[in-house]
Amino acid sequence: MIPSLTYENFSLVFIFSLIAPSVIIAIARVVSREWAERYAPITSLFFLALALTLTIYLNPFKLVSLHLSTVTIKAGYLSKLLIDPIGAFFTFFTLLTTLIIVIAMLHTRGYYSEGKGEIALMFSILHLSLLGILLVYLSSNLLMLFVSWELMSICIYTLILARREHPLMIEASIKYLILSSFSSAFLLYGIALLYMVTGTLTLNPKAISTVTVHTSNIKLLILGLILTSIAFSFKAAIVPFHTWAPDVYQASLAPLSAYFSAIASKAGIFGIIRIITSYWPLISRIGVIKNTLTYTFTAMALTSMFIANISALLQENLKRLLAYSSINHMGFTLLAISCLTPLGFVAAVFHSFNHALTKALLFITCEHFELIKGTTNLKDITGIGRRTPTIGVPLALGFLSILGVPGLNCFLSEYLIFYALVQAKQYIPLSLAIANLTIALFYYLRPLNIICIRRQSEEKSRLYAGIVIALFILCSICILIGVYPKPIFNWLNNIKIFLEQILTLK
Amino acid sequence: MIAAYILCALIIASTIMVYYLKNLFHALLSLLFMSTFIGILFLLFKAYYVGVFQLAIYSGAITILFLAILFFVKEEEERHGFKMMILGLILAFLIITLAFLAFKGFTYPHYMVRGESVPSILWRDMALILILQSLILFSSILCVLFIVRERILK
Amino acid sequence: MMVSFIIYITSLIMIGVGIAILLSSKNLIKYVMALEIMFQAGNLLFFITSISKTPPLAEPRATMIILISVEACTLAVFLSIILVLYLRFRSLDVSKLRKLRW
Repeated sequence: MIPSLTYENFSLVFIFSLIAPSVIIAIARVVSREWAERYAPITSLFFLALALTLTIYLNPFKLVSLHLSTVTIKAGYLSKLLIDPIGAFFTFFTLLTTLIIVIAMLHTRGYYSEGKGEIALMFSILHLSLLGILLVYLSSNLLMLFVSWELMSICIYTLILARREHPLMIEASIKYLILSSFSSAFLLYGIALLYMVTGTLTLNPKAISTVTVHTSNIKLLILGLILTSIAFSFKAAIVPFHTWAPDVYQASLAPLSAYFSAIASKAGIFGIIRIITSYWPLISRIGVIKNTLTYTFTAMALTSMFIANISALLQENLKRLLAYSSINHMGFTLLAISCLTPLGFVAAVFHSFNHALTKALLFITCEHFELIKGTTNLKDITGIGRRTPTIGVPLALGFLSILGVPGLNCFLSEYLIFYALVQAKQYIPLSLAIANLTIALFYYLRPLNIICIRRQSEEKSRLYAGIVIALFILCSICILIGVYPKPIFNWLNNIKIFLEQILTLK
Repeated sequence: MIAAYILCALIIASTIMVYYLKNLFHALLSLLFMSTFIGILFLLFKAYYVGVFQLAIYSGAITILFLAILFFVKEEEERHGFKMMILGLILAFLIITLAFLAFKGFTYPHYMVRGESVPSILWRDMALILILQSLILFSSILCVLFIVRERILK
Repeated sequence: MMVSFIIYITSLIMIGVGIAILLSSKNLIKYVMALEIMFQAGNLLFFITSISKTPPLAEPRATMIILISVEACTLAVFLSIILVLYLRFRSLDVSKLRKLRW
């Protein structure tokens, strides 16, 4: 049985197991560089596994205070972690996907730079960004959300620059920095406006239902909600704000691209879900806000799906194509959120989970291509999948999964999104989404043909153990969820019951 | 309160000067003025802790940081063409009017805060956020070391 | 209160000027200055909520202190990335970053 652990001690051990690897690796790097670079991946794997096993204690909806010593700090609502079913689910799959991505990063150091790299510092910064993301998922108030958002953003700016002198990486980092800092300023302004209107920074729906909003303040409330949603959708690569995504995913190293697309983008989706479900008592009281939000999100989601699909048809680079497909799927998730029903949110959460696993799978195969050929242009990697089936079969599985083939995981979540749209009676967005998925067939099957079916007569290439293990784990999870999704469905049912409690006017 | 109005006018004036000045050192000087005037505004309303922080960090540390970078770079500013400038001005004007109209008739809600002093809130209520802030400091040091590593770490 | 309204107008104009600088300037250091202006405008909004009641509220002021230090760290990381850009490319012109297209 699960040994008993009080919530206060749990949160302390959990946060410790997330801060510890970065501090330990940084100190070890100061002490002895060789030792740090050899043992950094193992250390980070150990602490990630520890944090992942601690997520079984994440029972829903508690406000947890943090024991910093033997004396309890009597903190108010600003210092507590909010552990609710949605945050717990996101935390779980973030830790799972990061564990698998770190397994895929366990190999040669020549990959990370031309000469000697800074692998130890890179793992340290990776763990700090992971801490930022998890604290976004577990934050109980807007200030902690903003502070951990900034922590995540700072670490991601530097992770793009893994090879310092490479011009493409510097350019991608600058482009990402420009847009992301702009969105941070908008986030700050939106949080300030929400604070002015509601008078509190909390994200607890039960506390917000006691807030009364005068009719003259409604416009400011709408402006605050729209500004924070805009800032979160910068991160999730939704269309007017998606221009950083292809450049960043193409230019950075493949496992880090996997990290950005599978994990960091989901923080944006989670932010939108969190803001809407926390402010739901105010949104449902005032009908104008609900209509505005629905129309805005539907418009952004549909344009992002169309633009991403049309741009992806013209791509010659595999990572850039995967970036556009990420934008497509983020638009799809936003379409599920725009229903504003419990089933819509649950479908969005489930699709984030499946998309994270599948994109991690696809980007880790790109890592193999980068190690072998140095590039992921489609004409340079022709036939590698056929020649080394150990890479070709997971790649084919990943493409089939993201197409929505039944028996694999994304089929279930896409079906759930369609079901949520039908239940919310949004038939026109539903038909446009199905049209977009049909267009997506063209740009998924073409790389599949080029890499896995065509023949190219060359010698067999070397395989890396970390990549093979990570691909094997991800393929088995994809097939397992596609065939036997019941444990995940139990968890999603908890989320649905929890949302039904919140989304009724309280 | 006339002092508050004059300070706000000076803040707006320095912001517009940052936009207009092409020499980066002059623009930095007007940024320094803007930060200092905001700090004086905070001190005027008896917000001592916030005012000192604003003056020490914005008018102090960040200005010196900018100066350090500007001594490396030594460049003049170039602008985009006329179209982008008009686009920028139109967008700015739109956002200003939107937020201005949204604010009309604003009545302050009942704030759910306890009116205690700033230190007790910082050290007691926001303890976890202070720990997060120290982590941000630690991570920004690590990040800067990672970014400029070839000059510093041998 | 009239003063709160005037400070709100100030922060709005600061955001507007910040956006105008962002869109019309090619130099990255000017961009970072515009970001700083926008962050300070957000701080001013918190300040408005703190002076709106007669014993002034302390929670927005504590929030502002945290935000000032967070933004300082963020700006430090930005400027170091810009330094690397300058050392590699010898120019800070945004329109020269054109290698990653399509």
